Amino acid sequence: MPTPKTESDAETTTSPQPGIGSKLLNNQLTTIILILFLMIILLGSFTRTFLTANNIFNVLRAFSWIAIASFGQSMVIIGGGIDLSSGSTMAFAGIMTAMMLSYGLGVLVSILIGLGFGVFIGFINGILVSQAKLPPFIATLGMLSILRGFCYGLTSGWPIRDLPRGFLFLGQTDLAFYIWKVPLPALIMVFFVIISYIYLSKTKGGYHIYAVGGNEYAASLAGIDAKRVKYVIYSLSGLFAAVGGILMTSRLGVAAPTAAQGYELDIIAAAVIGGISLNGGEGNVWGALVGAAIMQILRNALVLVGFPAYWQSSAIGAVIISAVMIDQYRKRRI
Amino acid sequence: MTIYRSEDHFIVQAHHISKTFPGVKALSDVSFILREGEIHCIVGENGAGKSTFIKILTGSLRPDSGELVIHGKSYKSLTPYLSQSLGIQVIYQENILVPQMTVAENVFVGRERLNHFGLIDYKETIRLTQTIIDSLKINLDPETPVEKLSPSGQQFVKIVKSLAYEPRILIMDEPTAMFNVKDVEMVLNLVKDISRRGISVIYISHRLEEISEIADRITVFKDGQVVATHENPGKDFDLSVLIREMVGRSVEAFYKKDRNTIGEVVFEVKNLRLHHHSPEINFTLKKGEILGIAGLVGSGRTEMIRALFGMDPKISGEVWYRGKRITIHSPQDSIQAGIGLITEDRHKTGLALNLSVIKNTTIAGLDQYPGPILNLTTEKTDVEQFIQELDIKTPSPYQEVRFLSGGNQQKVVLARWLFKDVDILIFDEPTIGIDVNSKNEIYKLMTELAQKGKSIIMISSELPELIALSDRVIVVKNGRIITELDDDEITEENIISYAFGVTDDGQSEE
Amino acid sequence: MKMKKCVLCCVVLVFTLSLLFPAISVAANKYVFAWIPKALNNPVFELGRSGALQKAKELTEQTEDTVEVLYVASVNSDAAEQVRVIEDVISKGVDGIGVSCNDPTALKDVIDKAIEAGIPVMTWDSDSPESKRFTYLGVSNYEGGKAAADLLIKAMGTSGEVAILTGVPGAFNLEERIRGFKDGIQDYPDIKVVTTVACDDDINKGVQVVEEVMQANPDLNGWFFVGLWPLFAERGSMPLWEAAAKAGTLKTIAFDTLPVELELLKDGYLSGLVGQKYWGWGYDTIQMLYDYIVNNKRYESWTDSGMDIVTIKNVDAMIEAWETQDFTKPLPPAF
Repeated sequence: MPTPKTESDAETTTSPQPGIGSKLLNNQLTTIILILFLMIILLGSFTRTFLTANNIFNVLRAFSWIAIASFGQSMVIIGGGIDLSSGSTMAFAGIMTAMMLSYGLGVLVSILIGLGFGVFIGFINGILVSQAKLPPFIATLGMLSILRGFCYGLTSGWPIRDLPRGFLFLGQTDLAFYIWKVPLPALIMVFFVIISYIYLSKTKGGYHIYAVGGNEYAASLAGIDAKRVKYVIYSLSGLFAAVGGILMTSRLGVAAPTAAQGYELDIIAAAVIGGISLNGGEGNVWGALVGAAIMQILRNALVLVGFPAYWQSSAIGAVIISAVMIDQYRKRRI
Repeated sequence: MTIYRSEDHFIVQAHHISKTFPGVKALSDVSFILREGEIHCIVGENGAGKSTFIKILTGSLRPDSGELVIHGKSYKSLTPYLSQSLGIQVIYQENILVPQMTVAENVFVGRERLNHFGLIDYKETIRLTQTIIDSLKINLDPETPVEKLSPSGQQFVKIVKSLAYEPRILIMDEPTAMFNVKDVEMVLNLVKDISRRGISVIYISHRLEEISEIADRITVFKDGQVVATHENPGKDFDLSVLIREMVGRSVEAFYKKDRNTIGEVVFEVKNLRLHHHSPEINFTLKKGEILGIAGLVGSGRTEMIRALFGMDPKISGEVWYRGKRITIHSPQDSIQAGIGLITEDRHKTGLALNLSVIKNTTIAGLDQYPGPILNLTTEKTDVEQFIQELDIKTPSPYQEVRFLSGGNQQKVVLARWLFKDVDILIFDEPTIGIDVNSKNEIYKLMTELAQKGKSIIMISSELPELIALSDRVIVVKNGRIITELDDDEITEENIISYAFGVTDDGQSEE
Repeated sequence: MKMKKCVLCCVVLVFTLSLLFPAISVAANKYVFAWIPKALNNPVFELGRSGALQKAKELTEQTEDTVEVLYVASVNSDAAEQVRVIEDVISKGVDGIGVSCNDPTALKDVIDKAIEAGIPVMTWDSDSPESKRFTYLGVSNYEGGKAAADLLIKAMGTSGEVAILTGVPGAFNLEERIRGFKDGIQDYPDIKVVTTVACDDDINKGVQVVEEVMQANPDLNGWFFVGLWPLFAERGSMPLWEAAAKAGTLKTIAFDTLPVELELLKDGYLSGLVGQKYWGWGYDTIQMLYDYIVNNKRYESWTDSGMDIVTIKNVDAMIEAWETQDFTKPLPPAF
């Protein structure tokens, strides 16, 4: 292809491409990683139980499904939207999978059906946002409620239990790694953060998400189909929430219609703590991972140090605000 | 602390002001005096320190050293509140109006007039607004919602709003940038009128002609320093002096284009109709040609291009490209066909400001990389080549474009289309808000592109650039192509007379 | 006044009937009772519903009257929604209402409105004491908490470290149970409550905090689960808790008597359960509404619905009741 870039013969100096390591340490992530380490150090020195392998893996497992859902959420937020239905989607996908299992369908088929529903829900959100032009907040708020109603309606309020062993394997297995037994959900989370990162930062589709979130109008003038980008991000958010929901169901062995109620706020908070701007076009999934870790470690810590249950939600709120404030302060100083 | 004698005529004195940002010395040892009732113009390239200096006067930045003497009192720094209470008002370039509110509401927003019950006294608000409007002898209805006004109308609202504060010092940052030729004259008269009332005006503009027309004194900024302050008693200051001082070298006031060979017709618009009752538009574009589109703001130039590019629907019309008919329903179709659009408003419609130079450059042309996963190294190398070729001043290709100056931002948009390798480029106001030096660079790039066989359509309100660059000019009025001018016909007089409708040879199509 | 009410009642009744079943003869009376739980999302209400339907069936079979149950509620526990639901059934014109109130004060006005419209109202499970309802069928959560404390002391002994798991902090019934529990153990200074944790009525969070408490307090001797949240999760979800329970060093008492808990009790993970008679919520309420209207029976302001105390001794009887869906037989003693 003839490109008009041969005019100057001077060779450009190629500076080394920043790898994942330096990306991790670039501006946005540095602060929250420091906060995370600070929390870990404080907890390690104040409790004798925090830094045990057992507890660490417990925490890892516990935030894996929130984190996976928040990777999908991150894509939506980076693309300039928001997905409030992710908590309900988690519950719904878990219930659909459990229902399929209880009808005697195979594990793989049931999971695929659960995931399919996740994508479908996200796709509907995408249609509502890009075709019906509803504000994402409203469209997904409605979806949140609709899905929760489905969860209750389909189960008459009863949790679905007695799921087959082959399914519970997903959430309950620990894989041996040297001396540790790493929970499978945590490994699945790592897998998802890596593919999400590659998708967002190294593929055309990912670039288009940033462009639409950064300036939708400019993106469409650059030939990007903004509607398609929206279908994709909401569908992915639905898919990722379904993955999280199915993992959680498999871990607990029960699909409850009340499951994951209010998790959308944790999922969004994880992304925001991780430096993903609600204005769109900014941030990456590593931030969401660290954000989810901070949230879960905080909850874990409050229990370990015996912080009164009645005050916990205030403590969590305060940490969300301070983490974002510190990040804002850092940004302003630059 | 030094006590200054209150000098009647020196309303603002800035002494040895310096301000450093991380890595940049924005102002160094700037001294500046504003006399009562004068129009004091400040000129300089983008990044010369004008905005920083203004921000210090308005209290949004603290100087590192130096002092300000305002109305005879000395200050180390100001706050926005203090600055306002000293009677300093600014009319910014950016939009500061609430679109849904009426003119009167906008004028008094934040300082609402209340009646005895503590409720908003709407009648009084309208009355006061009308008084100001009348005193300016402009035509504006205080009860119109601002979003219904033309861009010029909105600009007038900003002026009215700032006058409602009864300022002693009025700072105007590129006030005429949004106006068409006719209204510019009005604005200039208005500025003169304001200064006659004893209000001192600091006037910042890139349009040198108007500066020489209205300025009592002109101060030139360059690289954070004051180069010189000139008196302009005869209102006829030599612009080449200003330009020399601004750019630090002598350049010709306007760019002279090298002639290039123009090839066959590559692009043709036939019977394009935007609405049922609108006239048909026909024009052609040749290989290697720069086609200028002239016309007043509101003449339908931009609408024509929007419909052509697929941003707005059209009723009928054919577009032929290299002998084949193409259908355009969306910007994607245009881009697919090899047409790129560089919009007037870089911030709103051109760039994703918080994304990097790299991403903004490659976003339209990612398809040329094979495979699903991008090779970021190749991408960076490609973009670096454009950075070098177009001389985009950025510390790194990873820099977010919002930190770049206007000229460099425009080059990033241009780089995008060069990367995409389109054959037809449409520029809507290519140099709006760009400093003199960058303008010349953009002109040079456009000329080079034409020489390489690209075809360019350029909409511009700046006649000198239209005249200097265009091989052919079509003049648009009321959505109709009034005339087409070639070679020697392309003169300022011709264009203006057609655009204003003074001359109409009755020949609406080519 | 009473006359007026009766007349009004009859008019409403006839009107309703004529609308619903224009062909039916007037000789045998038909009664429609609205049975309104807090929400549709709690499975224990399903049980109450089957109790209510059972009683309606029995009454229809045993008397010449026909009794029908109208089961309506909002999806979530929401007082405002519940008010709307009750207003709907008032305008629909039912013969009696049994309701479990989401909020005592928020429901007061609408209950009084129903009474004024001539529809007798009773509350069950959760009361609105200020309203004009004719009685409240329920358990004292405070007494339930005390009973739980007794069960724990019997299982664990009179000393040890205890943790409490609650749902949403501040929920009135849960707080009452905790208060009863704490009063129940206060005579034993060697029993120490080391921590109280909350799980927001969420199974996942319940599992998580129980394990975290086990992590932080490996020597814990007793648990009081104020609800059954984490117990819904499959075995293997709480390895630390399960290991300690199996080893016998940890005794757990939980509220409610759902099958999943009964199994855990039978397998030795739980030492005792305190449960409300969910089935009776429906079964007894319909009977009381019927007696109030047809037999003119009057009740005290509070009618004790009684509690089921389940231990290893009587767990089989309870399991059988669940399997047969027949809760009419009294439970054998727990000790």
